[in-house]
Formats: sequence, structure tokens, C-alpha cells
Amino acid sequence: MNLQRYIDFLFGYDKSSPMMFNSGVFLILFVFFIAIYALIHKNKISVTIFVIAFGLLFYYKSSGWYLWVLIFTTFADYSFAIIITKAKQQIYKRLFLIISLCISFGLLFHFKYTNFLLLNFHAITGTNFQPLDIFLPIGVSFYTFQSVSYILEIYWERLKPTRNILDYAFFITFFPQLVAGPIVKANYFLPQVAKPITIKKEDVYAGLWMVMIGLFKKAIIADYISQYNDLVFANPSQYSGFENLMAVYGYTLQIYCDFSGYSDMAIGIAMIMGFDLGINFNFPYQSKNITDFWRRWHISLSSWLREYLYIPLGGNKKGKVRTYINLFLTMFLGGLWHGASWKFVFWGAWHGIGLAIHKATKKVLDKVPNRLPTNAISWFVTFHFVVFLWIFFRANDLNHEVYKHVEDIAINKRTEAKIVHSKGHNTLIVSMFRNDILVDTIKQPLAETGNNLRIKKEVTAGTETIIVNQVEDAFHVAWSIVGNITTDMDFAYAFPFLKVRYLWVILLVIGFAMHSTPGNWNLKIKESYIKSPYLLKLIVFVILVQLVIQFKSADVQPFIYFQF
Amino acid sequence: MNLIWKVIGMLIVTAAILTIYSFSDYEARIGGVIIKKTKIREFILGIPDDPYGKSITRRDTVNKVQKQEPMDTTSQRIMIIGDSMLEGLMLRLKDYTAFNHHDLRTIIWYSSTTDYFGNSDTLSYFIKQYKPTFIMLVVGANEMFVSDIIRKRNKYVKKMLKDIDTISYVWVGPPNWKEDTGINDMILNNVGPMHYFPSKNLNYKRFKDGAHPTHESASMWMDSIASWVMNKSMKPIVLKMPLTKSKNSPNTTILQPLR
Repeated sequence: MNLQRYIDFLFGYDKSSPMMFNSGVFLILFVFFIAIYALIHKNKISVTIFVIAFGLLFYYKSSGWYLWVLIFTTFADYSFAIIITKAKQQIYKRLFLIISLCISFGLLFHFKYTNFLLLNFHAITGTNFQPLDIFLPIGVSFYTFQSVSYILEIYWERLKPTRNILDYAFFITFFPQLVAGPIVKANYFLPQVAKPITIKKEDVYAGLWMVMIGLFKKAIIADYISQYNDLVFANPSQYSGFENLMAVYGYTLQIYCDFSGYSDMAIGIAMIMGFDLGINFNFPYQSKNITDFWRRWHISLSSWLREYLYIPLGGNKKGKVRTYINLFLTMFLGGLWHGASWKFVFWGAWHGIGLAIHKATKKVLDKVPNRLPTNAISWFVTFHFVVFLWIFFRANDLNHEVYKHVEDIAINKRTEAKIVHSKGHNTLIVSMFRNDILVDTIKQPLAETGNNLRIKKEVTAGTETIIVNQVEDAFHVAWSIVGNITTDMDFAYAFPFLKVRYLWVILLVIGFAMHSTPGNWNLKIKESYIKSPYLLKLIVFVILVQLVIQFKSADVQPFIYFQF
Repeated sequence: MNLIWKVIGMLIVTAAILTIYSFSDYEARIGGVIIKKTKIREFILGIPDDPYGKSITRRDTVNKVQKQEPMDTTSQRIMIIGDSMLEGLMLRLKDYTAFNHHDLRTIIWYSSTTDYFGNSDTLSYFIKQYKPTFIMLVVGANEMFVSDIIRKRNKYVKKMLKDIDTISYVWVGPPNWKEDTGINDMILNNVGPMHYFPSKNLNYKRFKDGAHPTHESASMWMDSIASWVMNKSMKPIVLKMPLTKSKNSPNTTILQPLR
């Protein structure tokens, strides 16, 4: 028995596998956590300290010592909230608000956007660029937005500062929503923290049901169907239009199941603990217009953006043109929140344009009779607008794909890969492999990753340099998918596709079917589960966990929203 | 409050079921589908999850002990035996043997695995019959995803090596299309790096089944194997690259899969 190994497993940080709700280590830790929580939940101080400590452990197991950034943010914003409240003059209140926002957004900017800024600066000036080695701490975008919501509520005097640092730390480090949301606003969650914790009978099994649904969506549907989607998005030109289209529909379901599944687990765990995080997804692909979509998709982010960006910008109170501009700007920045890349900006901006167009035509559209054919058309157009923009959201530049490929090979061969951007092309430097017979093999997978790559190998002392020219950016990849779908569509591929990828198709159908069922059906199924005998609940749970094991791929898929 | 303990009970019972199943030798099936096990047993017993893990040390140790012998330049009686991956390799190997004046005997046992060979006298039968001076084993592609493979299959690898005895041999590893559960490492740890050609890191164009390399790709695979045998293997033999490629298969003994 190696005690150290168990300690590392339970309490150590492994950069390559941040802890997720569907990991074995979380299951073990959670059993201990919830047992102690059940025992002490009525003792306010003990339970607060215990949940904070567990939250910090959870974060450490996700991001290592970037835990200090979280702790710093917590202390900083707690202090600024008090300073802002105590400041007598408005000018000082505003000054401290600005300092606080600068610190919060400054940290977010540093971790998330520094390389993006440098890349664009060097692209404009035409100079060489080597990305800085900056790690993006998991969840930084989420907890930054939470702490900003607190500071703004304090500044607007809609909320009083928490009684003590513990309550505020509880809010920020509350582990179910710490690394991937929902982005719980301070005015929604802090009142719950202030009250004694009451675990309601009906919430425990309802929470368990949410966790199970989330697990099914994330670990079975999303992780399985992503394997095919990744193949196509890494090299779309190698696949027919039909296969490209399937991958696009697949990704549409994947991102929903991945994100909403994780949210469901977070909400369910919080529910078991006696807290309400609200809902984050409400069958978004059932939307019949884009405004409705954003009321149903990532509700916590869209309501945050509405409350703290769109309304402060003037909302719809400053005339039509300003309303459209505000919508556009909100979604533009919302896109940028998703990642430091122009493709996210493009995605967000087009959603902004979509919202503005819907707003402008709303009066006309409202006159359209509410009948099945018109509803079907509205749904079809909205759904495919969203699907179309997912292509840009998902597409990676081939540089990224090439690097991922080289990195995989390097890891496989226990060596390192390092990327260096330089003017006009990208240079990938890979340490010399131990088995020199296999050195050439790296060129073949590289050549297979894109059609327009020109690969040259240079061997210098100890390292092998692979120069990849003419790297396609994400937009080229996205447009090539669109091109394949529109110009190379042959439904003759449908039958062989069904035959070869039947399990993928079955899961796709199940995923969309689950999403398409009316809300009250889901409620009825949930209630049936809650009312069912304990043994049946146990059997369903065991079957679900075994299904997760059954579908688990060799490489566990990372959670998509961890990158944000 | 009581309900939370029921939920905890549910988690513990589930973990217990998974743990017991992972320790048991029984492999459940539903309609032909194997019910997978978790790696709880491997974790508790300290068996490395990463197939490279501990074996790297062992591999390096073996490396130090093994020393390459001088090249045997005489004509060889080569026997290549293994699973369906042979279909692609044998065409090119025929070129090599003809060009380098060796004799070739090919035996394909479809769907074969180490336990096919380990539980039968097939290998020793063909060795007795053909009396090869050099054996190429191509076994492992049908066992890439066997869980807990060392416990289940290591004994069969040892039995095969016992059958081969002192005859020069190389074991050609499977051309992975996905990460395996340890077959490559298990073979390597038994035979050592100078008897083992790791095919998993090569890249292949494959037939539509996604597993078997195309003829062209298999031909390149064979080129790599031949180059390795001649330069890096324990007992090198002459396998210079032939100038031409033939399209005819060598005479092959075919064994059907076990039912």
C-alpha cells in the first residue's frame, strides 16, 4: 500500500486531468464531503468554513496553485465592497469601483487575452511573435463575473456587503459552480448564504435526478459524439458534405449536452446541499427566434450580460439605433468572453446582429399567425442560424490542429513539443525522438492534417524543427466546412454512414429527442423517479454509472467550457 | 436529512459494486457486449494506469542487458505467423525474401490472439513442421482493448516464447488505431526491445474497417520492419529493400478463427 499515492490521488493536482464532476476522484471526495456536510450543516460557521475549504481543494485540483488568484480576488473584492460602502462621496465610490474592476478584469485580461493582443499587434506590425507561456486558470471567467456582479450591486446600493469574509468566500468558492458556472449573481446567491441551511426533502432526490441527467448528457452523449465531430473538424476536406453536415449537427448537440450537462450536475449538487443556483438552460434549440434562444441558452451569462452590460449601456431606453448598437456590443463582448480569438468575436457579433434584426422586425413578425407551419419555419430558421454559427465557434485553425497533433505524438514518445510563431509561417520545434527510426513518421500525420501544409524538416543538435507553411486559420476551416456541405452534398453517403456510425447516430437521435420533449414530460419523469422505491433509484443510478464507464473513451474528453 | 444518507448509501453501494466487479475474474456480457470494468483494482493494487509508466524503467533495464549479435548473412527459413494483419505484410515480405534469397512460410490464423496460441500447440506444430531459422510473430491486434491484460494474457505470451525457444524471432506489435490497454507493453516487457518492433507509433492509411492498413501502407510498414530487423534487432538478418514490388501472395496456410 502506498499511502503517498492515495494522498496524491485525492489531494494532488494533475494538470493533464483537472477534476470534474464525472471523475472517480470527485465521487470519492464527494462521499466524504456530503457525509460531513450532512452532519454539520446546521452549525453555520463550521459548515461555511468546511464548504470553503472543500471549494479551495476543488479549485486546487483543477488549477493548482492558481488557487492564490482566486483567494486574492476574493479578498480584494470583499475589501473593495466595504471601502465602496464606507466612502462618503460618490467620486470616491466610483474611484474604488474602477480600481476593483481594473483588478478583476485586469487579471482576466492577463490570463486570457495577453497572447491574443500580442498576436494581433505583431500581425499588424509584421514582426515575429512567440506566445507567452500563460496558463489560463480554470473558471477565471466565471468567478470574475461573479465577483464583478457583487461589486456592481454594492456600488449601485442594491446589496449590502456580506457580514463577514466567510460569507463572501462561500459565495465565490462554492464548488458546484466555481469552475464552470452557472454564473450566480451576488444578489441571487448571497441571501441564501445569509440564511440557515435547510435541506428540503424534495430537493435531495430532485438534485440527484439533475446530477444523473447531467452525467448522461455530458459523459455519455457529449463525450461519445465528440469523437467523430473532432475528426471532421480537424480535417473537413477529407470528408464528404454529408459527413461534414453530420459533424456540424453533432457539434450542435455536443456543446449543448456538454455545457448543460455540467450545469445540471452543478445545479443538482447545490440542490442536494440546500442551495438554488437557478436554471442555466431551458431547451434552447426549441427556440423560434434568436431572442428566445438567448433567453434559454446559458441563461446565467445572458442575464449577467443584460444586467451589467446591456442595461448600463442604455438598453432599449435610448432609441432604436442605440438599442441595436447596444445589442451588438453586448454580444460582441459576450463572444470575446468565450475566448481570445476572432472566431468567438465573429460568433458573438453575428448573434448580436441576429438579435438586432429580430428586434427591428419584431413588430412585423408578431403579426405572423401562430400556426404550425409558421412556427416550424421560425424554428427551422432560428435553429440553423445557431447551427451555422457553431461552425465558426468550433473550427480551430489548422495551426492549432497541427500543434495538437505534434503534441500528441511528442507525449506519446515522451518528449516535448514547443510552438514558435514567426513571421509568415509557424515553426514547430520538437525534441529529437529517442527512436530515430520513427522520426520521419511525424511528417505523415502532419501532412494528413491539412491540404495546404508545406512541411520541411530540419534537424539540428538535439532538436528537430518542423516548419509548417501556409497554415489555414479557423475561418478558412469553417468556410471549408460550409463549402463542403453546400457543394459536396450527396445523400448516398447516408446509408453507409448509418451502417458504420450507428451508435453515434443513435446517441444523436436520443440527445435531440431528450431536448425536444415538452417540459412537462421531463417534469413527470423526474417526479416518477423521485417517487420510485429506493431500490429502483439505486438500480437506475448503478446502470447510469456503468453506462458512463461503458461509453468512456480512451481519452476522456475535457469539458468544453473549461477553456472559457 | 435522512435522505442525504440515502444518497450517500447509493454512492457507496455503487462504488462497492464497481470495486467488486473490477476485482472479479468474471467478465459479464449482455448480448455479446462486454460489461467494462473500472480501473479501481489497478489503482488499489498499484498497477500503473499508464501503460508506459513502470515499464519504461524495465524496458531501459532490458536495453542495458541485451546486446545485439552480429548479422547472420546466411540464407534463412523465415516463418511469419499471426493474425489478419499478415495479409498486408506478407506481400511485401515475399519481395524481401525473394530478393535476399530467403525461404518464406506464411501462416495466417484469422482473429488469433495470444490465448489462441497459448492454449494450443499451433505454434510448436508449425515450428516442428517447417523448422524455421527466423520467426516473425504478428499477434496482438485483436487484443488491443482487453482489460486487465497482464493478468489475463501474460501467461500465453510466456508460453509462446517457450515454444519458440532459441530460434531467432521478432514480434511485430499491432498497428494501433487507438490507444491500447497494455498489449504493446506486455509483449515488450516479455521479449525486450530488440525482439520487439513497435508498430503503434507509425501512421497508416487504413481500409474502411479503420483497422487494417491498406496494401500500400502495409508495404511501407513492412519496409520499416525489415529495416529494423536488419539494423536494430537482436539477431539481425539480411533484409535489403527489393527493387520491385510483386502483386502475388506467397503460399499461405490459413487457419480459421475459433468458434
